[in-house]
Amino acid sequence: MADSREIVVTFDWDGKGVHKETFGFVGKACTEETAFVEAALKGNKGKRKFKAEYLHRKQEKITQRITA
Amino acid sequence: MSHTLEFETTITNQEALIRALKRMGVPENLIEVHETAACLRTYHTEEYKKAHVIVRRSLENGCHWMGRHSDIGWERNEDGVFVGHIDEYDYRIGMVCDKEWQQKLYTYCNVETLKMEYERQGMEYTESLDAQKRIVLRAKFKAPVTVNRIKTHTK
Repeated sequence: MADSREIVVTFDWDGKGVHKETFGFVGKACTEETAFVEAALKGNKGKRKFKAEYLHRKQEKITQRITA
Repeated sequence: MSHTLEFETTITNQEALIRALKRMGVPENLIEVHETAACLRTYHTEEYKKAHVIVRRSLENGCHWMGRHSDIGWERNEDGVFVGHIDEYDYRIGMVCDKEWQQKLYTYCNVETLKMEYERQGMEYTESLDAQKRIVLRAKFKAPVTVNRIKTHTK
């Protein structure tokens, strides 16, 4: 199966601002496997917005606890 | 979509800075790289600062590159961050080294830094412009090669 994971990085013309979006990752993998982008650009930790997929794994765990 | 992140960057990659300068149209023969910081000179050949990456003013054909009067350069500080030096006169008269020019250079520098990282990791990427004319780099992850995948292909 083809790997659909993708990183999209957009650069502001002020020479500083960088926006990173990740697609196709589930759980913590999105931050862990794409952290090299910030490291390469020596980015300070900025404003982070998590999407539904990031919380997916956490929700699964909660469901398991309830049904067990 | 998993997450989005906004952050600010600093220039620490010398090769990316050189690639960005070339992308800005600086002639390759005017770019110098020095292990030890070398002197930058003004129009009157006075030394005003030192730098590791230098774009020399050109006197070919009786004119300076893009109307510039002095050398411009980037000095690597103790933290490995490149700090730009531009002669006050060039900056004041708004020649090639104005604020907008620098911002564009640093944007290209960020783009080239990330491209180099993708190339190092063997990732495929494409460059395009979005609706706001900002540069966008799209990179695809490659699935790690597992034993099961190797077996499937060798059958």
